[in-house]
Amino acid sequence: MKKLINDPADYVDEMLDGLCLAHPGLRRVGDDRRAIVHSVAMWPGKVGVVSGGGSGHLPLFTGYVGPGLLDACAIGNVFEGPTINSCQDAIAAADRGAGVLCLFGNYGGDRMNFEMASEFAALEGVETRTVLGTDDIASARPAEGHKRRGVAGLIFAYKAAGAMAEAGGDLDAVASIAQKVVDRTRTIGVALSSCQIPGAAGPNFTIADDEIEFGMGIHGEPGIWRHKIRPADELVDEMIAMLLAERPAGVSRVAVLVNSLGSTPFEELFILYRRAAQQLDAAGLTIVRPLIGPYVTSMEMGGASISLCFLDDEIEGLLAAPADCPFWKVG
Amino acid sequence: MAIDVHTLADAIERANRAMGGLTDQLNAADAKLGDGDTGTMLARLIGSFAAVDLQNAPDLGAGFMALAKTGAASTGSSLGTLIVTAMMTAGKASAGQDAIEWNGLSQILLAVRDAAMARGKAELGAKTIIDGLDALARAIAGKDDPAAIAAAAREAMDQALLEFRERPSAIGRARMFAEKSVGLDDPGMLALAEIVRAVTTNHSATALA
Repeated sequence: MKKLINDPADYVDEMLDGLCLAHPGLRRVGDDRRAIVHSVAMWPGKVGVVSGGGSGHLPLFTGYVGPGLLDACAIGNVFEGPTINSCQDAIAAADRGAGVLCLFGNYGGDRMNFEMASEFAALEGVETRTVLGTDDIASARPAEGHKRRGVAGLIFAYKAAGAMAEAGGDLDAVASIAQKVVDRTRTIGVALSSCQIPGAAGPNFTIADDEIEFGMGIHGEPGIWRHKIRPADELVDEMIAMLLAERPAGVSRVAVLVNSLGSTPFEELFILYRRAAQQLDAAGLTIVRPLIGPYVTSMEMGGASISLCFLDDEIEGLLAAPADCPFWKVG
Repeated sequence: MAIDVHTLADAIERANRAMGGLTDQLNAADAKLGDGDTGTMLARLIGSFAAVDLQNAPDLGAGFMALAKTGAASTGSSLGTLIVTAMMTAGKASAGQDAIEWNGLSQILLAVRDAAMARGKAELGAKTIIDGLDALARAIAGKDDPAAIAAAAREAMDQALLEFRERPSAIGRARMFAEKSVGLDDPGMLALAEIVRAVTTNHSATALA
């Protein structure tokens, strides 16, 4: 698999250098410079919102650092959690005396490292809360929702938590809204082709040219089924049906994200969105603030995911609040 | 002779030397169900351990803590973080002590096992490195002769690999491939077994056996 890179060992650091050069509002901090912060001054007493994860998913995670979203982000090697030190650096950078929310996907390495970093932060008097993204419905049954992985729907929690923090919410309020959004967000993806970790001998997984895997995770974790590829409308119908099976009672408005996993183009995303909008309308749901594009990727992986965030007035208001990062501007 | 910073430094040096031949083997074992980077990650982590000046650490506990601190800056992987947790646990258990007796090693390994279970939210029997640690700690309990401990450790790791090879994985990424994991070694347990073998074989004056 061909890539436009130099030494694979420099992949992450060179990428971060370029990101910060292109977006001067971002800068690298910490001993190994693997925490990203934004340059807009955080007022004293504001709750910090921090995330983190492995590289290879831009715009996730570092791309969502900005006012109204994340205050800092720890970043690891490709598909490898950030180090404990990087998590500590991100927490320290986001601390303004009111505590820090650590909001990240439910993956073992990320969870352990943020836990240890939070323990170190507590020793220094910094209070933290943790909320885990668990929106991937293919990764565990509803009864085991706490075991689900975090994927593209995590950005809705970033947005709501960031807005609540900007509005002056305390740490409990910021953590509470993040958890509420996680609880009301569901994602399902389909994969068409693999990606390859820079320097690896081969692709992360193999899939035939005429096959599709339904429910595959963003690191190539196995999905629900693998068959010959089907028309887009059939796939969307199955995806929407699975997502709506977990629709909370009384919900009439929904935020939608149709996300490219990397190489799937906008044209195909709009074909997917067209059908998703039809199906959601038929289900009596009004779409609010649709997002279509590459928001959470796996480098060059082919495929797409659909995320639904089932809204209430509080979440809808927070999603509409101003925010500004390199890949998502609101207001 | 007890376990002191020189014993620890010697063990790290042996493990680091062994990684030269183990990296590809562990990557291949991990690639069957995972990202295929366990060997590379461990080589980087143990290489960073080898660069720590343990000989001048003020005591054994400080030596373990220096390794934990270095590891915390070196890796973000699940297995790497469990190893950092192990170093912190051993550091706390030996804090302020110049040395610990050989018959105290089992208790430290049991504490490491428990800390890894708590950190990784894993149970015994899930087919992870934690099952290897459990087998290791139980096998050397009550022993105070380094040569006897070394022999028991190697035997315990061989038995643990044999016992768990035919079981499905029950945690982490491998649990999603539970059926496919039957017949395969868990890469973390395999890494522990190979490092135990490297540290306990061809003994020198200060090493484990």
